[in-house]
Amino acid sequence: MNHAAGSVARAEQPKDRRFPRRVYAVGTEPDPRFTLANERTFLAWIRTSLALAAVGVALEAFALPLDHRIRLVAAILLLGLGAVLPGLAWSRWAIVERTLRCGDPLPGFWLGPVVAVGTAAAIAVLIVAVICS
Amino acid sequence: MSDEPPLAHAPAGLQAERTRLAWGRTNTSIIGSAIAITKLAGTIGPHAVATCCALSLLAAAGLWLTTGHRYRRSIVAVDRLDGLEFDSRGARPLVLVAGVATFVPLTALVVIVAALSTKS
Repeated sequence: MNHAAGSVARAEQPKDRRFPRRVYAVGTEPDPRFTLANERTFLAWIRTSLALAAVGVALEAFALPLDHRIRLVAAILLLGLGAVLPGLAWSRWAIVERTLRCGDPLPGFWLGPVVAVGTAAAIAVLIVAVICS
Repeated sequence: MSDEPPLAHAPAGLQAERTRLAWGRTNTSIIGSAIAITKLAGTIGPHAVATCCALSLLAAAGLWLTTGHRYRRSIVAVDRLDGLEFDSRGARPLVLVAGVATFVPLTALVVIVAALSTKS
């Protein structure tokens, strides 16, 4: 009885036009708490990206007494990673949201290793710069 | 059974509040990175810095307004445990924030590489 009433109410709702269609066109509505958790994870990646960019800018702007060329490589690595990360975070958000809507198991976590390797490389370059100066 | 009203969102881990705070932190980071870009004024000139900062701050202001709206919608969604029409704008604010976060390091990267090529 209740179920039937719910179906009628759902049918009367306006057509779902939310962006992006490749996410919202599939599956059923997940628990909103999961949607919000996915959104917070996306925002955490964005802040990580902005932090990487800030360090990259600081390296060049404050002209630290390090070997100029090696410092430049570290800055370009950090800024490059910072520029790519938001796109990857958006793509990850869309994949996870789709998965939640379809009730499938979560996909593998490939974004973490990408950022970990990139950050480790930038730090390794900075260590070399400190040793060389 | 208790006589408490069936308000679900508080025991559900304050999901809406936590998400609102995450948006606030991200917005603060955007303003912070706009300030970091001003440190490049010596390299790129005041006009480029002003454009960068104005765009970042405009995006931050837009996101600030959207956040309040999303917060109210998400409280309702969590209370009803129903996400449909949770936000008619969908994920557009997420695209805006990703765009700004790409734009800031990309600008710095272009500036640094341009400075490099004029030097050599």
